Amino acid sequence: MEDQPRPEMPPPEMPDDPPPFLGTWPCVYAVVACYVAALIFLFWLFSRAFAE
Amino acid sequence: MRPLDWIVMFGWLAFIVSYGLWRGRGSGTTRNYLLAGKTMPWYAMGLSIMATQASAITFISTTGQSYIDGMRFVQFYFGLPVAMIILSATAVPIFHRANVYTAYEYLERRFDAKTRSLVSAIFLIQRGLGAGLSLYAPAVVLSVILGWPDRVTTVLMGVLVMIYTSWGGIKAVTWADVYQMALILAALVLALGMVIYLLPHTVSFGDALSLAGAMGRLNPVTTKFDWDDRYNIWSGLIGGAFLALAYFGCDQSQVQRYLTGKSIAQSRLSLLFNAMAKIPMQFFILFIGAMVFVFFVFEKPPLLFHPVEQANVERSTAYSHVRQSFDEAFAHRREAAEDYLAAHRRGDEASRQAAAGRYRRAQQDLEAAHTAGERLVSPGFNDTNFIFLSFVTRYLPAGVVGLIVAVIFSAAMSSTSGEINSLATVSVIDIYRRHFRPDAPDHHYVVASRLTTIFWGCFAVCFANFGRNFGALIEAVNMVGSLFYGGLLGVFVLAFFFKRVGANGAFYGVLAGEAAIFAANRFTHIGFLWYNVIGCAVVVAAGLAIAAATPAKALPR
Repeated sequence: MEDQPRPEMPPPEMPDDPPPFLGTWPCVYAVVACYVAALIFLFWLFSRAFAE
Repeated sequence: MRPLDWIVMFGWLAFIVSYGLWRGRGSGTTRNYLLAGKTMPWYAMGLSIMATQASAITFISTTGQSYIDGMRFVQFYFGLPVAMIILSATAVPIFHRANVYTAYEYLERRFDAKTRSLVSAIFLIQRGLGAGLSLYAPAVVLSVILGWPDRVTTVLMGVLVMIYTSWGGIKAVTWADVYQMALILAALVLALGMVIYLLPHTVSFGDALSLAGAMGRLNPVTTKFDWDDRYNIWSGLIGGAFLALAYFGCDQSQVQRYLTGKSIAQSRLSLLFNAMAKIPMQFFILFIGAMVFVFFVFEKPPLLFHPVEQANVERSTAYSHVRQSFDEAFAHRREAAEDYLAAHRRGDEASRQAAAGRYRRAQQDLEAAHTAGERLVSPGFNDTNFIFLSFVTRYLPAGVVGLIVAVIFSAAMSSTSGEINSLATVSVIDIYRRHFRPDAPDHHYVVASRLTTIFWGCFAVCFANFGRNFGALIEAVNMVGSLFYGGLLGVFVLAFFFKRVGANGAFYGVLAGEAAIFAANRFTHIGFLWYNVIGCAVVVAAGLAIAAATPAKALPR
């Protein structure tokens, strides 16, 4: 039995535009990740504030 | 339902169907019908993605779940933004550049036809079941409000969705979703405002938070790790991320949304919008459930929230005894809650603690009486899904009730339309065109897509009639997804990241992954969010093992 990988597909022409803000996509991802981390931290504070 | 409620509800339904038909015009080619001609802006895709995910179950069951168990269900979504970032960086550009109609079409190019067919079949099974459950939720609504049989309302919903989805394809689905999501968000704000407004005038918003917190209802983060616990921060971050990766990366009902984007950047923005908006939205919905709980601390709830079953059990001989226990527990709880607030205002910590203890004991007694009431109906009866609706129909003013009901309809229709549209796409592109009619004219596939949309709509309606056998519907839907998503995710991980794994590794890896998930479900008590992690890991491990055990030919230049 042979398990043969298929050849890579040729990359069609579709440009990877930069984001409309923050310059690069990794910067946008970092901002989203920080936002979510802050949100979870706020929820944790909320849980602690009202826990008996 | 008062006349104004009927006008609001039917007016909204007529608007959505008409708008969907109008927006769906010009969908005469396969590319327009299935991919909206790749013209969609990010906000339309983003709202459509959220609308497809936020089914009616979200409103009916999540609020009830918060009432019963607190807000910790929100942790289920903590992994979603992580998944959105990963998919924006990987799947979005890969699928766009592959210029495919479905995610599974890509698998044939990367592996072979049998892997594509296997994964397509898995999708059709699990999404077909999910579509049925999504339709059942509004049937629950109308059975409560109108006293109509579930079957009638299920058929009504299914027909409305089939009209605009089969006519306009994904363009109709997406633009209708935009308005449906806007209504949903507006109604959420209104519902929370109403429940806070309806609290007794002596109870401030801060008091309501204290009472909900004292009963463990304000617990959006629980850090204790437990394999058997479905919702904690660890299962949410890890298991939830894997589930979201599978749902948004491998489920055609979501992939098809961002394949309609004008560009890679627009599709990425739609996913990142979802990453930022989803958790606050779920928090908001759960918070409504927690406030409804506080409302019913002061306003006596019915023994059963299901009005038909409530009327039935009132005729049983054991009812008066259960009712007496329930009434006594409610009176004790209300008294303890008032003492708790009075001690809280005085700053008397010892009295506050004592009142909190009585408050919780009374809650336990109330829950025991409620459970005894449920047992009068049948051993497995659970009325969690009726809690929010009971509040809406009994206490909200005319017009608002119709609006909330319209929202639940909207949520169900947006989910179901996306689901049957994607089911039709996979049926036609991955099955029919691939295996039966590869060379038919383009118009033939448009007609086939319309017919299969109607077929899947009918299938969902039929399956929805089994929905009454499930308890909390949202968990049932997620459970169905988790049985299959781990395998789907694993094969895409192999495709994207392990170039030396070939077709056999992928195909048998999926089978091994699914076997592992079903074994975990059958023989262990592991929380279902972990099935995605287990399934994905087994697929990848099996694929790598097969690739290592079998010699690979050199790639042709």
